[in-house]
Amino acid sequence: MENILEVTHLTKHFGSLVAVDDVSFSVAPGEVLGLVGQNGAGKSTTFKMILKFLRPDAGTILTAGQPITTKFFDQLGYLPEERGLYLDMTIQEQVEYFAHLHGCKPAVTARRLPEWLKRLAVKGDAKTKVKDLSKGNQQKVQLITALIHQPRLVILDEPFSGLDPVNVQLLIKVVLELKEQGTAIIFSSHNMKNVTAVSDKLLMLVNGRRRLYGSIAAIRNRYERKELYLEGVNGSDYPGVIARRNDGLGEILTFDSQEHAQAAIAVVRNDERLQGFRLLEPTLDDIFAWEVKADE
Amino acid sequence: MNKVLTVAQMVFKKRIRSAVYYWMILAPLFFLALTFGIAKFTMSQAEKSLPQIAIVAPQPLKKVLEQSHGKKYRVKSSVTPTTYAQQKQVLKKGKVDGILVISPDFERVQYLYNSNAQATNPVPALQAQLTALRSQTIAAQAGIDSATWQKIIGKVKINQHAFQQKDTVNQTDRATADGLGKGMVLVAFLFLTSYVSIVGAEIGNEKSNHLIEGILAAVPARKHFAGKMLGIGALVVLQIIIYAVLGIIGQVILKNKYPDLYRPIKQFMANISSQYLFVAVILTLLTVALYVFLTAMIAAFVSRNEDISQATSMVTSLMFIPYILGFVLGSNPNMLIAKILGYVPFFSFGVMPVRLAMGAVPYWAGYVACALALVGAIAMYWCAAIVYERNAFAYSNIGPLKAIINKILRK
Repeated sequence: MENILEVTHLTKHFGSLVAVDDVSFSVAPGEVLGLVGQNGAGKSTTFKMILKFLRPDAGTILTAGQPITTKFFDQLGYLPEERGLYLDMTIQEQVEYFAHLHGCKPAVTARRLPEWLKRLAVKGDAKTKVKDLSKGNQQKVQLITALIHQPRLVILDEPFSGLDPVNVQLLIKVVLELKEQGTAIIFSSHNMKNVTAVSDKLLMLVNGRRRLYGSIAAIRNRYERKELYLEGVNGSDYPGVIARRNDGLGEILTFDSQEHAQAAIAVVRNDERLQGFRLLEPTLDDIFAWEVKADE
Repeated sequence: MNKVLTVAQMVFKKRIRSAVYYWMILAPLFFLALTFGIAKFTMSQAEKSLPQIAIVAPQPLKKVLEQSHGKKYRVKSSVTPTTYAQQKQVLKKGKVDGILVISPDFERVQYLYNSNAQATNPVPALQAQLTALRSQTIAAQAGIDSATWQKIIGKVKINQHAFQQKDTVNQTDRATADGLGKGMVLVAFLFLTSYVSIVGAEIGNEKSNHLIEGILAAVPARKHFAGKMLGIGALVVLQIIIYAVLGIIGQVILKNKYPDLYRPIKQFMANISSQYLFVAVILTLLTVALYVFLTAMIAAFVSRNEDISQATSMVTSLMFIPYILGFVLGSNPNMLIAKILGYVPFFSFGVMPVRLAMGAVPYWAGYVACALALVGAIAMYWCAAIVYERNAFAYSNIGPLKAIINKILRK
């Protein structure tokens, strides 16, 4: 199946600042790509080039092998990082307007809207004015405007910011449902837990450059597993331990290398007190921090 | 085209659902009616404050004065106080505002009145009349008949004949045309002050409220701009239609209920040539478009809601120039500045109709001004669309004027 989005050697300068430097990635139908990076890494700039808000200095952006035209916008849904709605409009007017701009007729939108309001648990009905909604509910309405016209590609810039844990789970559920329906999704986030929960692939930008790209499992496998969870043998000493912290009934030991961690396992297996152990995968937060530090 | 129409529809529907839009349309008519009503009331009050006088004079003289008061005073014939004491009594009781006493030989002419009288003093009007009457009386006494006397004192009649320049407003229609020209400037000014603020809000709000990213992800910037302008154009057309309908209704009411008012208006309209009307209307509409596009261009630099008024006030200030010029140049339409500005888009709508009305230029000059205004409007639209597209995502903490200056200086 052809990729719905193919970005190749994308570059953008703002004067002497290189905002995006030779970035390449692709997204297939039904695939979720998590875009992560520190503040100013180039995430939003990348989105803006895809959306043709900015012209790249180099590189190509293709959809199904063809350059993106304005016609493609009808099949694209976008949730910007800066939220903005017409406050004096009702939810229905708002959603119908944006959907109509994407080529979806108002009658069709009106039919779909009640289901979306229920799906995202928006506190209000179609006739409620946007200004009468809370910030979180306004955000959900804006998300509906990005999704109601059934786009093939959805770009969500920091979709989880401003949402409470319940609504975060709701959004994750919606993203996974869209994925099942074959929608390609790119989203940016600083919350690695959410990225892990929904993404098939990860693209990490550091100072505008692609630092990591691939499936989350493959990315994790590139890194040594240096953390070992032990239960029942708290306080024991092993070579190479650089840190330890309590974790519930056991403790987590951080080693200076996977080799030392595995050596500790070999030792602790013979300990009768041992009740459980696990060699932990590095978290995306850890990977993120390591990569940013490495770039510095 | 669908996206353009969708945007235009949204702009149009949002405004026509707002009571403020209808107030904007009807307020000028309301204030016009109010002004008319106040003027009529003032005139009626002025009539009531006409002085009522008694005349003590020889009967033939008294009769002439009673018949020729010319709405400057009223005569109370029933009051004829012949003695000073009676006159004083009559004034004290307030039966009349003044008493005119004239001796048969005009040697003694006196106007007695209360010092605290509210009515206007009729002496200036009486003086002109009495001067004429006295001279007629003396002429009659000298044996000069009335016709000869009129010939002696009458003004020399100068027959005027104007050679009508080809393709210019007729001499007889100039006052009407001038009135219409100035009226169109006023109408354009009223339109512009309303639509400049609408345009400023339409362009500035979406950017300052961060709606623009979501919108431009669905529709390209230039199409969005085109939709906005089309929607505002539709509002202008609706306003013209409403005025036309109200005009027709007003005409029917005036014709049937106030024929005295209707006749001069009908005469006024009949004196306007179709060519003059065409030039005046087209120039006005094109100028409205020019200023709307200019406002849109400036508003594209707005980043914050509070800066929208700065953008619109810049354009409003510019609009005053042709507005004032139209009135100033009426007395001398051949000044160099009038000759130049009569063709310059933005200013021509205030100058060219006046020059045409004064017969200073033929109609083809008006058509040239229209053509230049059209070219100007197209160029202004194109520039505004480019500026809108390039600044859609440009945010700053500075106001639009400084942003424009920085852009020009490439800062």
